[in-house]
Amino acid sequence: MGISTLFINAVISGIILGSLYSVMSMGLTIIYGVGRIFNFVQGAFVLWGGYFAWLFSVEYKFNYVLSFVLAVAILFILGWVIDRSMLFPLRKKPNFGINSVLVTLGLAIVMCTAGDVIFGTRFKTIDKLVEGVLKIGKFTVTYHDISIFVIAVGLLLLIEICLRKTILGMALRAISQDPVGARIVGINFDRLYALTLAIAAALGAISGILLAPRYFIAPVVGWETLFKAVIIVIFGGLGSLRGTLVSAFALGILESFVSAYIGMFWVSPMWFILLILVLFVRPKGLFGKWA
Amino acid sequence: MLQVERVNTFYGKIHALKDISLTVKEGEIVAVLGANGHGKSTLLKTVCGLLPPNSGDILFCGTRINNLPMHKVVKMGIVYVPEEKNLFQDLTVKENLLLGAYNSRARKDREKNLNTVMELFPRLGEREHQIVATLSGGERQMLAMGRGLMSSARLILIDEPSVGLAPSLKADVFKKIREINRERRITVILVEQEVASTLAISDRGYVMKDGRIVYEDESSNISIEIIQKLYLR
Repeated sequence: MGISTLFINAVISGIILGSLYSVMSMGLTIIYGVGRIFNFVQGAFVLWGGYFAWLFSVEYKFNYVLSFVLAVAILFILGWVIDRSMLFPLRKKPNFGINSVLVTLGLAIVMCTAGDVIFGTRFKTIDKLVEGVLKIGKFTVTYHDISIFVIAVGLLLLIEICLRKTILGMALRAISQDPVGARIVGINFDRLYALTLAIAAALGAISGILLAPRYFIAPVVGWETLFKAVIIVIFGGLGSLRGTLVSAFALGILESFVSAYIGMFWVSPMWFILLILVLFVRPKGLFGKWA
Repeated sequence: MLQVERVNTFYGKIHALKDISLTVKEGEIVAVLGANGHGKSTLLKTVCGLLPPNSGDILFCGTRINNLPMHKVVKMGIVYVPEEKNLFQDLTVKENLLLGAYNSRARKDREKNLNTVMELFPRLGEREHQIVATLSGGERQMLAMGRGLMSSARLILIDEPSVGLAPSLKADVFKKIREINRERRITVILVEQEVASTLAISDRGYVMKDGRIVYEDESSNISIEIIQKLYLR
């Protein structure tokens, strides 16, 4: 029947969107859990991941996978550099909370606008990771979308394993649970803060590169992404990885259903309504802490 | 091994340590006694780097450590076991211990240190995979000390380890500290309220009052009467 095809397609689409959103927002969560700051540059990271992938694969005509890897590597380094040059000096000074907001928000504005200046204002796109569609009966999914899901799940599993099994992962969890205790065992906070920002940048870049072929690359993407990521993370509970995961999938599926049943133009209002709901009804989110 | 010279530390406007000077020789157990709020914990926090001093010098084996970031002080071999324990609540006993060996000097000895700690505190071995939130007070104290030992430290600063424990557990704590000092050859600075037990296991003692050191002697020479006079003055 027509309706159930729509339903299943919306579910599939929602799951794929959810996996993309998880990768996009996980960086925000990790940074908040460890560094206790809100990283407003996250959207810009997503955008610039796309820009660099475009620069290498379209302009310079490098191999697609090479472009992907290079773009992510550059964003990783950029994240590290941003932390060391802009946040590290501010940590020792008072009012770090508000200062970090000013710095990251300001940097987001600069990076998003600079995109137009440096790369040109025309909306850009890049090739899909894999071309073609998969048809199962009445349902079609692009291979690109499948690869989004596979890569996202793979990344999330990787993050989970690193956090649970490696000493570095334990150290990050330790900092979020008891910063004094973390100092006592000799953890070098500054280095780990830089690492978390670098990881967030890399994750953002990956999601940006996966998103670009089904969307486009332009500064507005940076802001849309930031907006959605913030809502997802607050909805799931700031600092809770599990919360972000659940929230990303839930809201991804919701967006997919709104788009399928009500109309694409209702997606933006949906997110605004979510923002208001989250801020007024349940600011603590679903799970209140670092899980 | 440790030399504290004319150290002053402030908490904002509060002058918590006033012109403190003391020395600790390698292999000793040095007691720091005094009523609550007179600067004993602040002294330990200043020595380990948690709270940088406003003036004065702290030398560890001849090297100035007063303005080093704490992770470097830990690497040099000083570890702090706070009264609040500061354990990682949602991590397991084993994870807490493994993190204790985080500093680069201890990393290679991680397995060895873990075995040492498990021998010293068998109860921790039984609870290896339990998270901290499920442990009793005595077990948490053991874990806090065990985590400190994991760091391959040469000097351990222990802050009121017996507080809140039942008398039999208190006695265990002092026994363990003596064992750590005598058998593992680790120098200890022990801040405590249990005067008698502390003097019994320590070599020398300092008494603090109002942020100053008001008395210093071999522990065997410090009598209960002297302590009472100092506390009540």
